[in-house]
Amino acid sequence: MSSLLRRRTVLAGVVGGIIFPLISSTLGADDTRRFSVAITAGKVDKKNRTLRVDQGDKVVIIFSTDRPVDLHLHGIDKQILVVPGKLGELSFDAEVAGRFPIELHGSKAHGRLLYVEVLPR
Amino acid sequence: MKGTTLLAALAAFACTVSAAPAAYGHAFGQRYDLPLPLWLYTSGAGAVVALSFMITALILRRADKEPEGLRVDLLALPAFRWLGHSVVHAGIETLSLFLFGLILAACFLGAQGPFDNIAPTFVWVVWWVGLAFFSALVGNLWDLVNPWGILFGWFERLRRHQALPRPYPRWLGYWPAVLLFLCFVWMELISEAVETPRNLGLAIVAYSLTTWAGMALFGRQAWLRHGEVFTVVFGLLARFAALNGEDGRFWLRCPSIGLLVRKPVPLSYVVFVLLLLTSVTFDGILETPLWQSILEWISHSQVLRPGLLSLQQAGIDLLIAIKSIALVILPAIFLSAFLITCWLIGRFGGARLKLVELSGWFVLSLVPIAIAYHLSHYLSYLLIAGQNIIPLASDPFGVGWDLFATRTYRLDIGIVNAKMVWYVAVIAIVAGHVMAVYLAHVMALRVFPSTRKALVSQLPMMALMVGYTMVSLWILSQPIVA
Repeated sequence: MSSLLRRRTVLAGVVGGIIFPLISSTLGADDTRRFSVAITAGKVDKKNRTLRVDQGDKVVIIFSTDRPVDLHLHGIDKQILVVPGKLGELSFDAEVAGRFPIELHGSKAHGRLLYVEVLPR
Repeated sequence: MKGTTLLAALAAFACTVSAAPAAYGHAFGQRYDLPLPLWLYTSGAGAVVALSFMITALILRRADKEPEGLRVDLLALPAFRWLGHSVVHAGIETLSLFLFGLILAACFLGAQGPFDNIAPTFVWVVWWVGLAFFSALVGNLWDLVNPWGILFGWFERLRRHQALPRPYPRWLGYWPAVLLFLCFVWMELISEAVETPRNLGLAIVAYSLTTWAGMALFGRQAWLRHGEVFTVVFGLLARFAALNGEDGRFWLRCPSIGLLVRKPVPLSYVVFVLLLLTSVTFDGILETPLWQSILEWISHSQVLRPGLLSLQQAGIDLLIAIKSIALVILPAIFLSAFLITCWLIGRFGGARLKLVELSGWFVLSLVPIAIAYHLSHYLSYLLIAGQNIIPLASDPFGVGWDLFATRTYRLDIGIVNAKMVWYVAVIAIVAGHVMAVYLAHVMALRVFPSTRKALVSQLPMMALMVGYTMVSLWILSQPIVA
C-alpha cells in the first residue's frame, strides 16, 4: 500500500517535472516586454528615462528618432543604428539583474539616453 | 553682447549637467548596481536603531573586559611558521617590484586606451579598491609590498655612509598624508585625466619622487608613517582586520579591535580619518539624483551667475570646479558634525577633557561604518570591472600578445547576483554600525570615570552614528544617475 502510494507520488513528480517546465516555457514566450521610445534631439521623455523589466523577460525596445543615432546598450553589449523615418528595434533577453545604460555613441552626442533596470525575481 | 555670452555659457553648462556626461562616476569602469529596494532599506534602518540600544544594554553587563587581550600569535603555531620566513618575504617583495615596473612600463610604452592597457584597471580597480578590501578584511598587505618602501630600503643598504635624517617635526603630524590624500581623491573621483595611461604614469612618477624626497629628509620609517599616504590609508583600514603583524609576531584577533586606542590620536589623524570617511561617501553622493538637482540649482541660480561666468572665461571646467569645492565642503561638514558630537560627549560624560583629545579618542570608532559602506558600494564594481584584469594580464601593453590565452575573455556581468549584493550591502552596514557603537562604548569606559557617565556620554555618539549609517543606506537606495 505504502509502496504503491510512493510509486504514485514519484510518477506524479516525474510527470509534473516534465509538464510544468513545458507549460512555463510556453508561457515564458509571452513574457516579452515591449517599449516604444521616441528620441528627439538626442533625448527621451521623462517617463522613458528608466525602463523596468523583470529578470528572465525578453525585452523589445522600438526606437524612432529625428536624427541618426548610434545606440549602445552597455553591460548587455548590444548596438544598433537608428535613422529618421525608420523604426529601430533593440531586443535582448534580460538574463542578469542590474541597471544598464543605453548610451548615444558617435559624433557630438555622447551621453546617457536611458536606463534599463532588470529587477531580480 | 555680454548677456548673450553669459547665456550661452550657462546653457552649455546646464547641458553638461543634464546630459550627465558619459564620464564614469568612479575614476574608471562601469557599474551596473541596482538601488536597494525600499523594504530592504527600511528594515536595515530599523535594525540599526534597535541594535544600537541592545549593545548599550549588553555593555552594561560586561564592562570590565579588555577585548585586545583575545589574540593568538600565528607564527607560534607550526602550520603558519613559514609565513615568517625571509624567503617568503623576499619573494613577495620581488613580485611587488615586478608589478610596479610592469605598470610603469605599460603607462609609458603601452597602448593609450584606458581599457587596452593594464595600468588603469590594475591601479584603480585591483590595487586601490581591491587592496582596500584586503586591508580591511584580511590584513595589512601594503606594509609588505609597498614598492617605494622596498626600493628606498635597498637604496639605503647600498649607500654606506648615510646622512642622518632630521627628526620628524611633531607639529607636522599626519598633515602631509592629509594633503596628499586630498590630491589623490581629487584625481580618483573628479579628474578624468588619470584614466589615460600616460597621465597615470606621470602621476606615479611624481608621487614616487615626493615619497623618496620625504624619506631622504626625515628617514624611511618616519615618512612611511606620516607622509606616505597609502601606508596611512591601508594601515588605518587594516586596524579593522583580524590579522595583524607587529614586532615580529603575526596576531589573529577579533575584527575591529585594532581600532581601540590607549591614548588619543593627534588632530591631524582625526582630520585624515574624516577625510577618508567622506571620500567614500562622496563617490556615492555624486551618483545620486540629489547631486544632480544641486547642480541644476547652481546652474540656474541668479546669485552665482557672475562667478560662474568668470570661472568659465578663465578656462575652468565648471563641473570639475563645483565637484572640487564639494570635495572640500563635505569633509568640513563631517568634521564639524563630529566635533560638535565630541563636545556633547564631553558635556554628557562630565569629563574635563579638551575637544581635540575627545575627538582623538573617538574618531576611530566611526571606521567600521565607512568600511561597511565601502564594501557595499564597491562589491559589484570590484567583481565586474575587476574582471578586465583577466584579458589584460595576457596583453598588458595592448599590442596583441596572448600570454595566458585569456585575451579574448569577455566580462561575465552575471558573476554577482543583484539580490546577493543587496543582502551583503545591508548586512555589512548593519554589522559595521554595531561594531562602531560597540567600539565607541568601550572607548567611553576608558575615558570616563564611571560606567553610568560613560553610557550617558554615548548618546550623542549614537545619534551621529545612526545618522551616518542612514546616509550610507540612503545613498545605496538612490538610483545611480551619474
